[in-house]
Amino acid sequence: MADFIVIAVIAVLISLASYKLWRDKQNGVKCAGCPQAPKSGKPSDSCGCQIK
Amino acid sequence: MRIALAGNPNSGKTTLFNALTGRNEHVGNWAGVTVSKNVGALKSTFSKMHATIEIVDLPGAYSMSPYTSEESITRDFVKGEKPDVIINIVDATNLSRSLFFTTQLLELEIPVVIALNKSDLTAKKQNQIQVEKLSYALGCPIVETISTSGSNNGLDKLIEEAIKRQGEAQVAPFGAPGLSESNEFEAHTIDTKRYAFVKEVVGKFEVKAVASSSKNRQDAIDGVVAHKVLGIPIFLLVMWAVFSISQTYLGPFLADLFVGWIDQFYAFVAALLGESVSPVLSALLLDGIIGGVGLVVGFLPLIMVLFFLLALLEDSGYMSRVAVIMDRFFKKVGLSGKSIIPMVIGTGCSIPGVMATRTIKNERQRRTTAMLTPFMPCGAKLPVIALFAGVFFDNAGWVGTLMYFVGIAIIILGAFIVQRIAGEPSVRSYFIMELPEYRFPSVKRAFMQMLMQGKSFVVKAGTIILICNAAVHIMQSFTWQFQVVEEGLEATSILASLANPFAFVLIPLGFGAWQLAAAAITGFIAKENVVGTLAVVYGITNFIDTEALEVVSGTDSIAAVMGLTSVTALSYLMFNLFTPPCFAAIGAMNAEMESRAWLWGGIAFQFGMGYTVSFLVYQIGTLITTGSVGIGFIPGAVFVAVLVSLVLYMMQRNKRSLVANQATA
Repeated sequence: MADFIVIAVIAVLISLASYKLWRDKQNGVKCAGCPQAPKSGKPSDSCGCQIK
Repeated sequence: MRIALAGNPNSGKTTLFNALTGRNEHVGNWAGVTVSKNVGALKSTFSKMHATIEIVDLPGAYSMSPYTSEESITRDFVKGEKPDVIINIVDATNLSRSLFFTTQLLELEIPVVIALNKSDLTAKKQNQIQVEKLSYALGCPIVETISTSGSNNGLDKLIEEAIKRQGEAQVAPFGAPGLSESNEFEAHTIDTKRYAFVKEVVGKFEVKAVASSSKNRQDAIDGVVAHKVLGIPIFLLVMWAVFSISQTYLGPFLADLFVGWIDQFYAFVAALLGESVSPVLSALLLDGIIGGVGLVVGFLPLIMVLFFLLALLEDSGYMSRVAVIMDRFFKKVGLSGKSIIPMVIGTGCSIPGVMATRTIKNERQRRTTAMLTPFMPCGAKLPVIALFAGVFFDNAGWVGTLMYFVGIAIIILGAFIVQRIAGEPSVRSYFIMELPEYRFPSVKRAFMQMLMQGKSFVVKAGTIILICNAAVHIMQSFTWQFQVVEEGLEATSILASLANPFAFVLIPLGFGAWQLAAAAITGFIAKENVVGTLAVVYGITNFIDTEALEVVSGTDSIAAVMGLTSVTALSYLMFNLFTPPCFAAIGAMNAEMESRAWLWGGIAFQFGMGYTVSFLVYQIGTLITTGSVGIGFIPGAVFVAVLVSLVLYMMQRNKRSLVANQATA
């Protein structure tokens, strides 16, 4: 049981990280955590890090 | 409704944009910081209208002449997308330069409102501008603003005027009948007449208290700071001071506290897991994820102190002077003077630095700059520098400073080589840049910048670094048959078998261990991964406080655990800093270079340079410290000799080609 809980915790952490990377990619941001990344969910061409 | 902010570089557009929208776009006290447009919604406190008002911050431009293509973003937007109103930010301390662009904006038949910015500085100098008369002469309203001030800054009135102007006609005060800008000669004639008009207007309505020819305090400081001989040692001293404060004194003090909290969290989770969880899963969560990510995040205080100090430097106006100091060297090796701007941006992150090269008109210079910008140590490389400086050099401030100067030296050498391979050595470019006034840096702005960078660092640690550390740990824990690796047989793991071929190639550099090779490889995903991967493969959870290490490894020396001496550590550090930074930076190079040949040539150059520098450091350092060369000297020397020969051959081939072209011309 404890093993399953740990597996679940690890899976959640990795899923959240992957989701954040995927969402940033959808917004056109190539670097996770870029300080110029747009805050909203809409794509924006205002990000200096975006690679078109 | 859409309002565009347009004006000269460093006139305060982005500061005004941040004040109007509540955004926190990067503001640097030098030209060229904004290279793409920023868009934001006007804060509701400024507008009682129900409809959203969009504010567009455009990159600075001195002119909309069709013959200055580096300002094309501003020109294309204003002419193509036709905003409802243009707010032209005019620097009140430099009226004659600012109004040249203003007269061009007034010809676009779009209503203009002038924000006469930095009015406080003008008042301090006791200069007077007859605002109402100037407004009448130009044919548009003028509002005095101080965009850095939180209150009484004129922004309310500015927006009010802009909203009133929507839909109104705009008459241009200056005209050149019979002349056309489509003809380059006539465009030059128009510009001359335009300057004369601006000079007449400024002469009538601006009264200066101090003659501009007299030397003031700013000039006196520049005489020392930007001196052709003193400038470099002063820059060296400044960077050493920045690194000493962040890496030797304040940074480690704060990091000790922070790492203590991370250790407590680690111990808490370890106690929670106890003996009831499988050792493999326990190790993955504790060592792979918490330990690996926690170790990278442990450098956060050092990084934040460093970014705070760099932000203060930037805000003071000093970084522009660095551009002037470097320009002297850059021009001699065929780089555009503008090349310094992407490189300074690159000290934060290589990607916007590479993208900033789009303002360089000359194709070869632009591609060369894009290729060389990643040699400047960026924010992601700072944990690597901090790790090695702390473990092997007693947190010495000279390590970080040395890395920056080696980066600059490599850039100059690289530019020289590229010019000889792909360019014409006789061609030189000229660069004019406005030097902003020195000012007392804003602690608040530096603090906000520090927080922004810190947040970025933590988010990166929680995403890409977390995933990489988990993957590295799994690959280290299992064999290809998915059996758990036995203690002492780590070399049979998936990770070791993938890293070993690369480790073999790195033997002449002094670090042929698969663990170090694995860390270097993961560094191409994100440079911070070097630190995280080292933590995972060596089972080190704390590089700052090593007392706990003895329990695990039988030694309190991380150097002994990693099997590195000071010389090999310096060699490894340089390898990680001066080979290609990360895949995202390579993607940025691809976008800006627009040439496969240049892209692959650039990557090959970066690998070759990093390998050569690392080889020289290891072999020469070992010779000095032990009296004999290091392992793998002969194969390494042969490889480096082949690289150098190839470069010399390409330089010679270009020289012959140029001579042949001259003969036929």
